[in-house]
Amino acid sequence: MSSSSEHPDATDDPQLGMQRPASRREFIGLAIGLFALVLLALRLVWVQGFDLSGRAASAENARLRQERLPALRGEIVDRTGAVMARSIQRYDIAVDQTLVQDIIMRNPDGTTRTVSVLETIQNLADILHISDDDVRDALDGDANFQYLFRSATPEQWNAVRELQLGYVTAEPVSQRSYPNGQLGGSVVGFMGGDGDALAGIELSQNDVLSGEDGSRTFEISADGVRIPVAPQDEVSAVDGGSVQLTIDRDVQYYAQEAVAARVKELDAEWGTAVVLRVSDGQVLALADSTMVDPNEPGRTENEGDYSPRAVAAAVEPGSTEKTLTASAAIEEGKAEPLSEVPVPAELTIDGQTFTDSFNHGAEDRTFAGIVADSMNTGTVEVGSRLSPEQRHTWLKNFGIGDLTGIEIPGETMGLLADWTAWDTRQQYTVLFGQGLSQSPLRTATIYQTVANDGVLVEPRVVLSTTDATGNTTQAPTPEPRRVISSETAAQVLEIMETVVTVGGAPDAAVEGYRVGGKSGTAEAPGDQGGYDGYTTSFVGMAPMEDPQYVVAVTLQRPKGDVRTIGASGVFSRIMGDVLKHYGVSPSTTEPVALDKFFGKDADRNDENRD
Amino acid sequence: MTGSGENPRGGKGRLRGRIKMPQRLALTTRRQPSGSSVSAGTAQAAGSGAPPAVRRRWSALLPLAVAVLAVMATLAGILFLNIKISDGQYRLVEMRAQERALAQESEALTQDLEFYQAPQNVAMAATNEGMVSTTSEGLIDLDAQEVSGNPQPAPAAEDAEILVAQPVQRGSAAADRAASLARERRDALPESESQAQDQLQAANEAELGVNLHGGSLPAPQQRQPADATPSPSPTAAPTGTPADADAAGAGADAAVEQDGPDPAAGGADSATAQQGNGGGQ
Repeated sequence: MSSSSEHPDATDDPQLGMQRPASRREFIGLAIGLFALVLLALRLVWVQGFDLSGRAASAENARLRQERLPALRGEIVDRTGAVMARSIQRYDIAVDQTLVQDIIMRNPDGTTRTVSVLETIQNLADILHISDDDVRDALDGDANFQYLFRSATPEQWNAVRELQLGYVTAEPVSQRSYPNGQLGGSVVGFMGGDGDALAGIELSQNDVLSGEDGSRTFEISADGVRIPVAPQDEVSAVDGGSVQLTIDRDVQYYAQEAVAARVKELDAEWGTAVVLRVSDGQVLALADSTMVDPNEPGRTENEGDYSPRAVAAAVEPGSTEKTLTASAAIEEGKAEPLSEVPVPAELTIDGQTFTDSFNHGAEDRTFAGIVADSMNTGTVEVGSRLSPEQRHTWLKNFGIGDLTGIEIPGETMGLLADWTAWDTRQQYTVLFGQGLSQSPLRTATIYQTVANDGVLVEPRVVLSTTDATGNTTQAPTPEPRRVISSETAAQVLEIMETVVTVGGAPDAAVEGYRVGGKSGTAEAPGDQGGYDGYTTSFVGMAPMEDPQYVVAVTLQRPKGDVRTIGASGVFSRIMGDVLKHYGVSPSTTEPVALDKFFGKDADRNDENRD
Repeated sequence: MTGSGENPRGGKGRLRGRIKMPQRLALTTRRQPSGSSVSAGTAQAAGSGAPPAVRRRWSALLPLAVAVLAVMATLAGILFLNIKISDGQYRLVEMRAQERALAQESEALTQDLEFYQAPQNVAMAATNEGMVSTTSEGLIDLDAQEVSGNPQPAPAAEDAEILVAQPVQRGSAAADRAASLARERRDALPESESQAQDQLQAANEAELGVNLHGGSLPAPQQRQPADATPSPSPTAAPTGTPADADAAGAGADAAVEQDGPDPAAGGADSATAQQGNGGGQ
């Protein structure tokens, strides 16, 4: 081939040679042509290179589309991996009101049909399950953009799209779905209509869950199809991480159902139950009698449902605080479980008189007997061996008046006045849990401390976080803190068990297991000052030979006789379910029942023993 | 054409070239192996009378033909690529739509599944099937090789009502069905508030006289007075299956009939609870 292509060149040479002597006219023509070319080239540079009128840029802008690539919000799962919150696809449907008119629909066979606006309104109302008036209001007007319906399901949007309405558009949005609804609703939290986290874990872990939006820039042709070869920029979104909670959905259900049943039975204002794991302070359930359904937070009637009351409500703990007093007295060497304390019918100290919830004469009680039957008189007698400053120090040691630091917004730290500010009566009432307030969760941690060999581990509800790439990070565990000695803890545990075996709370027993705990009845401060109704509670642990779980139940303003409105039955039900759920072996050792009396009353020790 | 046949001939050609064969002949023999130019070669060889002119005309046309062919091939190639790309683009759009549709379907199904898995819905479904929670259990201890406990069958229809509300799940067919079922059931409850109040009072009175001795579960036979009131028992509707609920709604007879077996199960607890519910409607 190469040889054959050389020949034409050779033969053309003479022809070129013949063109060279150009005439003047031809030269001028050529010059004009060249000049025109140069002009064109200059113009080209002018338009394209300098682009002073911005035509190229505006043309590019017309083609250019920028799109936000929303990051997918992470999931919230319980400790078993069951989904508590996830993001799902929804559509915000909008109309261009200026374009609303009768629609001509083309049938496949070529015929056309006119659909009136009225008909369209009815169709839309049927699809979206809203009233005709709402649709009409959304369509009527002269706005270019008006939301018709937000968070429509894909099915609904597909149905709307089939109506072929040119003036209706939809924007895909991500919406949160909470498959368990009310179950643990306020723990999980919820989002506002504009995608802001408003409560619970959604709010406190928002940084982990939300991720980072990306963006994509590309060019489209006049018919709306993307130009494949045009340059495009894409910054991919970083999806949010998921959060695993320490909550166990099943335990949450047991607790919530049990406390709701009791609240209904007693017509109480509310009730709440906390289930803690003793060894590491993990929260297995934060259950209120009613909790917000995060799918529709607006439906909630009671504002208190928006956050878990065990965390957000400060109540006077009442006699459950006697466990703290007993721990302090024993740790300070002021008493032992079997210390002999003669208890008068009523105790007057510093001019303040204290009585008990039941009538009794002067009794020879052991300290265990005082706590077992929840006697204020005896508790004040023993507790007053501690100086007011010591009482305050011990309350602080157990964290009263401090936040637990649980990852739920709106935690209350309760109210603990400094001991110098206590009035004459308050310095004694704090010994049995009046004159101070704390969250039910804080009360539960007192029992967690005693059950955990005297070591307090602040409760946590976040187990771990997993980022979009699958790296799991364990949530930081709070530093365990020794509050009382191991010996003291063991002695207090024996007193706790005595409460259930021969003391005032036989209802708290769980068949097959050794259980301990303490009931509490406090007067609830009313809205208008003074006291109004009661706060009853029961907090306990099981199995006593090696306590693993703490359950704390609180009922606010139950109605009925003060002797019948207790929470120990609910405790028993929840604790029984928890022990069975986690397959804890029934206790094989004999339950402890300390002597409640000594001296002249010693023969009454067998009263409640079987 | 085989390679083995070519080589000797090519070798001969080169040999002849070296012994000063005319250039054209050498060219011809060299071209012979390539099939396309065989005819051209032979034509040139045949027309040896005026060879330069023919050959020049032919070789003048060749580049033009090649150029046209190249342009056409390029155009065809571009066209093909274009078709491919835009076809791919449409296919991409189509697949995206398909992906989205499938994702949406999967999402809806997941929503249904998770709705069914929510503990309160499992409990509700179990109640509808007539299942009751256990009241006593036995234990098989593998380590000790022991079987302990004395489990008894739970009495029928206890814990009838599930108090944890069902999740609101828009877009889930399962949730919609459950909601309409719940509505049906609620409508089947007695409307009369005074009647519910009477029974509530009776239940409370009965409860005050009962000592549970620490037992966490109500003793059924002691609760009989509570349900022995002559009025139709409101517990009948919620404790029954959905079909029963319909029956109770259809006529009071069904509810009265259920009054017999019910006291064994209802207990003041559930009676109180449900009457409270009835009053609230």
